[in-house]
Amino acid sequence: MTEKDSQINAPEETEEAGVVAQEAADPDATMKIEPKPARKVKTKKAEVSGHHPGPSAWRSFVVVWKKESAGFFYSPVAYIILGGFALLVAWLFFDQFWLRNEASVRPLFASMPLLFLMITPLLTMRSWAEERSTGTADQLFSLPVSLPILALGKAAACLSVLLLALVITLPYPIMAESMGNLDWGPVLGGYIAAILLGSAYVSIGLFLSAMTRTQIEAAFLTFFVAGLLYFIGEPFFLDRMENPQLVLMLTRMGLGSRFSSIARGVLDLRDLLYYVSITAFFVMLNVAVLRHRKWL
Amino acid sequence: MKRKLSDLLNTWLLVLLAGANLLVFNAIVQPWTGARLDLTQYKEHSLSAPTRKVLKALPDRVEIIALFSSNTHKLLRPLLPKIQDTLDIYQAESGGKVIVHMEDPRSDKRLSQLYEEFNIRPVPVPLESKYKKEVKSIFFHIVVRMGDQNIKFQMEDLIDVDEVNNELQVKLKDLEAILTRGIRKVSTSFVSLDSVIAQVSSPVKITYYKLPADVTGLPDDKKKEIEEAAQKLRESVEDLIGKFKTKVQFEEKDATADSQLFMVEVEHGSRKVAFPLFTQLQDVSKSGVTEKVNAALKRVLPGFSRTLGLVAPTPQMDPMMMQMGRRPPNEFGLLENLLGEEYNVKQVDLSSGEPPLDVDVLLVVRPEDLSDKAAYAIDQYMMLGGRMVLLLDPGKLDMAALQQNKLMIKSMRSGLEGVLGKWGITMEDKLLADARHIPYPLPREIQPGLMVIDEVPYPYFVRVEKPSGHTMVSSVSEVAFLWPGAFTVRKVGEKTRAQAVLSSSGQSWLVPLDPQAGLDVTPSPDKKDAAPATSSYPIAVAVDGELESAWLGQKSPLEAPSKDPADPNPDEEPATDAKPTADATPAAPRTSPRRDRSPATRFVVVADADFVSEVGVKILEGRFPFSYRFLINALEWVQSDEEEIVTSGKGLPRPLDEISNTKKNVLQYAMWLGAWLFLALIFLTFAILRRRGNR
Repeated sequence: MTEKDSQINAPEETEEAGVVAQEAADPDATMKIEPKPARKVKTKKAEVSGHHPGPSAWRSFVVVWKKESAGFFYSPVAYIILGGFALLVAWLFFDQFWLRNEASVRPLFASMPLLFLMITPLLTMRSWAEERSTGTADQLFSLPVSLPILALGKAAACLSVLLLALVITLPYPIMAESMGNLDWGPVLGGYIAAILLGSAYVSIGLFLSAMTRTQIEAAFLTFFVAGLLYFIGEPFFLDRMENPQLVLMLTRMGLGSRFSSIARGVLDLRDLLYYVSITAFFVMLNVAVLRHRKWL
Repeated sequence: MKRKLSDLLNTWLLVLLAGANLLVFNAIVQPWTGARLDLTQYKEHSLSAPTRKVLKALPDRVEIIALFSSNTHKLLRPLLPKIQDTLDIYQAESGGKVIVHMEDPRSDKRLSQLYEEFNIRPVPVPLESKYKKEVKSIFFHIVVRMGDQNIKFQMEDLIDVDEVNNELQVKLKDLEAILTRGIRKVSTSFVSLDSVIAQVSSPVKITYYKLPADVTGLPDDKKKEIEEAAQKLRESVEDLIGKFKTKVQFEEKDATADSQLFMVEVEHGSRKVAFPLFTQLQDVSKSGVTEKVNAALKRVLPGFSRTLGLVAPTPQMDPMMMQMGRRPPNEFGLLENLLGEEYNVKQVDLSSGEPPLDVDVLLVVRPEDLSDKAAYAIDQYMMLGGRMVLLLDPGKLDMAALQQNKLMIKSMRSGLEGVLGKWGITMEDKLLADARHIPYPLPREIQPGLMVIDEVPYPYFVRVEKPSGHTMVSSVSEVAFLWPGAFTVRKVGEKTRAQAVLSSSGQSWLVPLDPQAGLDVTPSPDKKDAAPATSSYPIAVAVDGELESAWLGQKSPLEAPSKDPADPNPDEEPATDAKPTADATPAAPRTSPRRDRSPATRFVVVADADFVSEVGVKILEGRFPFSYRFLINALEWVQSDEEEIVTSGKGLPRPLDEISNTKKNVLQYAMWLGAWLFLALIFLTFAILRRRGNR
């Protein structure tokens, strides 16, 4: 955030503790922020010394994350998505695992980018598009929570569902280890790559959800944009390219080729930075779009 | 409203600036090839320590010219970024000594240049696009060049093509192994002793153990001849000192023991080898001495191509086949070829009793009835600081019985029993059988002309799984041995350590080999091999430390009339415990130099040679790729002086345990069920939370 931004947010953030306390009195409020006494003292100290009220921002983030996560699990959405994911992942994994006859979970991570590409639009589509269609967006913007916190909270909630999807796959490497000599390096790399790829997909999905009016539009656009970023580095896409420099550039831009690089067991700073950049850029775009909507 | 609009513009500007910054930052970090962490067990995506060592020792700059057509076959295209990655790592880790050029040669001028310079032409490959099918000539070559030396690798050197489910699959071979071999080959042809000594940081020490002045009992003319020989050594070393000043140090010491007499020790760092100044006093010439000094220097100094001395059974001449004009099959021909990729392989003949002093490592494969002189040559090779791997077989296949469809193992003696016994290793005259084994592929005719292969349990194909503990098997997940034997190991001294590297499972037993009749090991589906005792036996043993000569206190076979090689029994020798001391300088010293005690050295002994024979490779059918890798690691370990060696398991498969289809289905359903139960648990947790919230 720039200095200008923090000046814009400053009044909201300093008022936050008080408004939150009022909200806490309402039992039906969707967001319940109950500041603990000890932390309240800390906040006051921070306010007195003129520092940024960090703990409040963190608590707001946790509240948004909890509320959004609960939204997934109080409805059948998460169960349908995760159930379908479990079914597909088992089918795709075992199909290759027995054929290859190798103590490796490469088939699991080979299918992960496509599976995430299918489930992430379903998770992110409702985040902002639903708020707009049901008219709760304005109510949300009036809350004493800064827009970046709102965006990050929603992203964390979507990512939590993806993390649960990854937890479902944990028995696969354990099974492979029990049947042979598994190299855990690529497994660790695979999970790190999946989390990074998931974060990038989620940030793209949330941005597009904020851009669109309906959930279907959001899901379709997310599938298209994230899919494009995934496929541009894949061999079948590069097959017809003649220019080697262009091929190299697209390979480096592709989310899929970066994923394969980490999933084979190599943590390269360039790959990590690329995913962090994509995620950060789309989160910033998301916040900019929200601010745009809030003010216009 | 005006303020809102400017804030909005600022927000979008901020996003654009941040995006541009991220883009530039990513572009800046692209050349940072070194900022990476290889998480794989065997560092499969990093350069190994031996490669780094080769790169560090490069005397000059090496160019890697990668020639790849960008419009190439669709199966080759995904390999290009991987190749580029590996080449980038070479360039980054070489400290400027490796320069990489990756290009797509198109112009006619460049094509003719490549043809003239490297004899490279593009390869015709069928290409298929959306609109047309055509055959096009493409480049898929790598050239490694240093000065006017170069080595080229073509498509078949770089890729493996497999057919899986009627679909072609193309895999890149171990590119690091290929490139490092190429770099080593082009650079070693440039490496001269002069350039290596000029680069060493610590001096090379040459020590000559002369005859003490107070020794009596030698005739004057003999003393004069010895002095003349020593003078030739002095002249040879002075030439080196004249060239390299303080980088070569020479010292003459009085021999304090018989075994030191007339020995020349060459030492650099932790590496020490020795050679006798003469074997026959009459034959000493300055050029001969210089040759010996140079050979010893090449063994202790880094950067030279390594020579492996191979002692393998000579192919047996079959009169029938000779009449048909066929060459006898070389049972270890494949092994020789594979070793040729890593070493300069030199066939060694030990029958004269002379130790092979020009080889870096000695590999003795299935020795049979070696003469005393040959055993003595091996003994002395080790006493002079040599390194060795021995593949011994307790017995061999009876080819006559095989023609009658019977598998018989005939008992066999290596001739090294005495030497190994002195070093604490004894091979049982028995065959090892193990409950953990691989099946025998037994063909069965189900209809006339139609055969099927039955996999029959066969305890003589011993499988060693997940061996651990020793550095040489750290990258080996399993090894299979065919008709192996087993060792008994006893401690021979404080300065020698023997360690079992590979052992059979706890459910193995030994089957005696009848010296005359042999042992019937014919596989049969009905045959159940009893397991009378269950224990674990060492199959491969690594020995590290100082060794004593098996001929300590005795006349050598070169001096004495040959003993019966079938009955060497040095354990009963009265003088085996005699230790050379300063007082032991003889009144009449022997004038044929030999060593009774080795410097710190290493050797590995394996109770099987079949696992690397052509028959073995056919039976194992690539199911046990680690077997050959184990041998390579053993050769690396014996040549190293460090506790840890870098062994490579790159690109080797990690096969699954055999499992029935029922178990496969059970596992698959268990995974589904587990996932659904996990989801049910989450559902229940949230239902409870919701109910509590409502209350």
